[in-house]
Amino acid sequence: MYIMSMIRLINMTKRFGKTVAVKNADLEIEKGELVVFLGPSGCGKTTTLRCIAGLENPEEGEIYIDNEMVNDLPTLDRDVGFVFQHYALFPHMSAYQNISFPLRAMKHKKSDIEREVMKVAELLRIDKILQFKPSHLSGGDLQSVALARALVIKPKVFLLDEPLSTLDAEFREEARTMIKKIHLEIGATTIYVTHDQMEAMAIADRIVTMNLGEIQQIDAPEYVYHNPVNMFVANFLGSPGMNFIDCSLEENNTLKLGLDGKILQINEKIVKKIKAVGEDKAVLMMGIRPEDIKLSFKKDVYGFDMKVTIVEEIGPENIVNLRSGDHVVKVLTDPDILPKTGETVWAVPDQDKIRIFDQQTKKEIL
Amino acid sequence: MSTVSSMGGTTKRKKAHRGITDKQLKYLFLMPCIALLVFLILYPLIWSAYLSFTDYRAVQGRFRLFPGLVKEKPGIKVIKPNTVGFKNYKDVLRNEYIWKHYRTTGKFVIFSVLIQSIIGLGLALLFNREFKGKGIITTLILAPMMLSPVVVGMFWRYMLEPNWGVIDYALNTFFGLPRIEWLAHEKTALFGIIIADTWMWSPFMFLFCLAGVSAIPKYLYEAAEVNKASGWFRFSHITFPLMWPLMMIAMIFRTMDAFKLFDIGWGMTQGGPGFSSQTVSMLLYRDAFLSSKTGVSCAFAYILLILIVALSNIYIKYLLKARAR
Amino acid sequence: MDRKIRRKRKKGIKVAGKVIIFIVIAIVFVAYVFPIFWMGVTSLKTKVQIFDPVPKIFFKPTINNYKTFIGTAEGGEVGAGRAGAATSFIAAMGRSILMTTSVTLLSLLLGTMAAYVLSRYNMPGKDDLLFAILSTRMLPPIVVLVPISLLFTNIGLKDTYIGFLLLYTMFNMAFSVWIMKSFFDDVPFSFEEAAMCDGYTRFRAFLKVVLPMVKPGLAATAIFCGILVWNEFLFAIVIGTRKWVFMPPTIFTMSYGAEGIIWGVLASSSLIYIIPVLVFVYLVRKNLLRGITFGVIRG
Repeated sequence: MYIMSMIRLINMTKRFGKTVAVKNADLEIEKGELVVFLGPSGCGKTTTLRCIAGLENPEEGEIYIDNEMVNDLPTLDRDVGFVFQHYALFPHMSAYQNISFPLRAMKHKKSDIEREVMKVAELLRIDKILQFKPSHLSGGDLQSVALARALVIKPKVFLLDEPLSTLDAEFREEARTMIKKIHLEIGATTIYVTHDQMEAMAIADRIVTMNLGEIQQIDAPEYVYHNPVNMFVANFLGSPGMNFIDCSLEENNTLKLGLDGKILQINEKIVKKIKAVGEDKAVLMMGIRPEDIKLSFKKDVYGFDMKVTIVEEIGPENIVNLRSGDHVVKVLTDPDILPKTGETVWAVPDQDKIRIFDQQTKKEIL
Repeated sequence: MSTVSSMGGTTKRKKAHRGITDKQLKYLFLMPCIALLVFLILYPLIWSAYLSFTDYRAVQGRFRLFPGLVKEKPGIKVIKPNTVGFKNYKDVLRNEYIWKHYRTTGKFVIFSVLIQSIIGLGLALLFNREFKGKGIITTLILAPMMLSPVVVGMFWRYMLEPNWGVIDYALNTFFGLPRIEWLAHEKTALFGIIIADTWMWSPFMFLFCLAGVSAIPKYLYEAAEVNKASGWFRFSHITFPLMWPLMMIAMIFRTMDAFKLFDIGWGMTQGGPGFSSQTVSMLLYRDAFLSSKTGVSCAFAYILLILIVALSNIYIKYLLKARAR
Repeated sequence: MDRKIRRKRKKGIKVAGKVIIFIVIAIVFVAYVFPIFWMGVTSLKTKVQIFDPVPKIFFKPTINNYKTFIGTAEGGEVGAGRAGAATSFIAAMGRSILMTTSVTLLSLLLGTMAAYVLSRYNMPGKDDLLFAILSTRMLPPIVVLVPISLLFTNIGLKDTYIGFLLLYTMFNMAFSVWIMKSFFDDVPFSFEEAAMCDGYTRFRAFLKVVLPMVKPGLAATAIFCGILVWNEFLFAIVIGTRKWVFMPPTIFTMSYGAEGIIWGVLASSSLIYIIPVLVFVYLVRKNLLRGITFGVIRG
């Protein structure tokens, strides 16, 4: 069997003692792709990455890199570049010595080493700081040196474990852009691990969302955002996350909401779809993203009434917190819409953006 | 630091009517320590500096700094030694016999520290992994250095016996080597002491090296692995450079201690045969207490002191630098 | 293809490597423990068995050596040594225990006090004082021993309890101050601040709040100081000439018989003598590194 993918995981499981860190992971990554592993801490994304690098050995399943089964191959024989979360630069070596380290370990010629190091240093714009030791470098520079050390061997696969998490917020965006730029320039297959959904959305060709050791969804960022397969993915992507409201299907194309039994008029299209999958009797959950709700100051049957509690003005938009009983619904509005606290407004969801989930299985049915 | 002083201020106010003030506590707590330092280190050193310029011999009688201050018991002779200038120092520095002892000491220091460092490093690398019973085995290996050196010396003297000693028996039976009279020959006596010293003190090097090796974070080894380094390259570029500062401290420690060698050697050979295994400490002990050459010994001790102060300066500087990290 | 071969070989090497490492660790362990074991074996041998050119591990043991040095055996050979009660092993043991305990307590008291001040207060010359204290440990003891011995003779402290107590406390000072300081440094100052806000005096805050927090440090310091005194030999032979003769010189002189060293007596008395040390080493095993580095390196 010949597979045209750069990395392929088949049914891979990794345990630490009794806890299962990664469960039956199946994954295929094309050559030159930039894939982001996204999920909360402890979801198994870093472990999966370390398995690919060979720093951990999975108990079950197979790992292929460039069509070669690498399960038994020690890390050093796998053609991977790895950037650690805390850089793992060698503290007793200068930036130059750090970057040249893998080349020296492979016994390259001195002149070749110098050429390669300078090339990658110029690419990352760190050619001026090569003589300094890590303790004298700023966070951003450390980051670049770590990238350079991983890139200098021109790996087939480039693995980054939360590379931006230790950077200050102001450098983070810049570094993110740089990583994307480098990826475009060298075209190496890249896996990037993060818990930051914004970072993932901004950088990824495809996002692999993980939770509790299991892969939830693998898709392009926009697609995952608009078509989450389950409530976890829906909630994890986007800030603020998707609003969820208990509901059940009623007569006359309406939903009875878990907000004191309020009734929401919906399109027949939605009702048909729910019926088509036979979920019309099930306990449902309506999901709607904050930016897909419009506020109306007069009664609207396509909306539901709630009280305004807090309005957070965050610049380009406002986050309006609405309350009804114990339920809070967040709405993103234009900055000029400023409802008063205590005012009653009608939240009107965009009918095309309404998602319906099965409350039991947490899976999307629409 | 400002918090300390300001706290001191408030307590002082509070304590105006009860107990001791902060300042009093400070001096009360430090006083005994300083008093002992002055009484047992500073004063003797000053006095022996003076004695080193005299021809005083303790067997001749007592020498009072302030004669008449105490009433002498009958039968105790009080004398006033002659000042001889730098004669004692000249004698000590010109004496080929003493220089031989320096060479013996130097030989001992170099060989024992070197051998112990290599063994300590090897053991540390060997023990830098998890295995069952590691804790208890490590503790038992570390035990020798806590034992009394003179007892260790004497017992090794027994083990190194050519006729019934277990070491020579093992070397002879298992490896077919001839039985060596370790401590009876001028050429091997010092080496015999080095063997015992190594048994006793290589665990010390081991402890430091192990601390150095295990302080290297695991992620650096992982980084080495993903960056193609293994085996010797990993050792020479990661492990060794990172543990070296700690190993260096241990080596300086050992050098200072080896320089002072007395107990083990005294227990094993008492300097013999001849004076082939006699270090400067042993010679000084003989001169000062067995031959009562007090004035000369003081000069000898001072020369040794200057040497040690120079050595320990390097050492303490390094130690404080390591502590700052 | 060649990669696959290497992989297989690697697995084989891994197993073989583990076995080799296990064997090497076993050899190392035996090398370090054997002399102590052999001491035990020798102590149970008769004179004839000891002088056997083929040393045996299995033999008919005897406790005669123990009887000899304790001085109860009829016609037992006792080393020439020094005259009088001073050669008695039991008496020497008693003196060693007494001195070790006294010095340990005094060192602990003075060391803790000085260490607390040196850890908490800032004062001119603090670093110099710390340096001076540490340097007493760097001096070869023989260098200061010459004048100290003369001093002790002159003021009547030679061969006395007080003389030894002061001398040993001084030479433990470097150790007790530095290691206790390192433990105090680990206790944040905010604990005293809190106590003093609650109306404690500085002294009570030290006694009731800080001191209980450094209990492990006190234990480690006590044991290390104790071992230092217990093992000391050079001061013991120079200052303790008649009355205050401790264990190491006693073992040293007692083992010398008319025809050379009585190895059985040496082994048995040495074993009795080192057993407490082994027990204490086990107790402080966690603080071993800190102990031997004066707390400069946290272990």
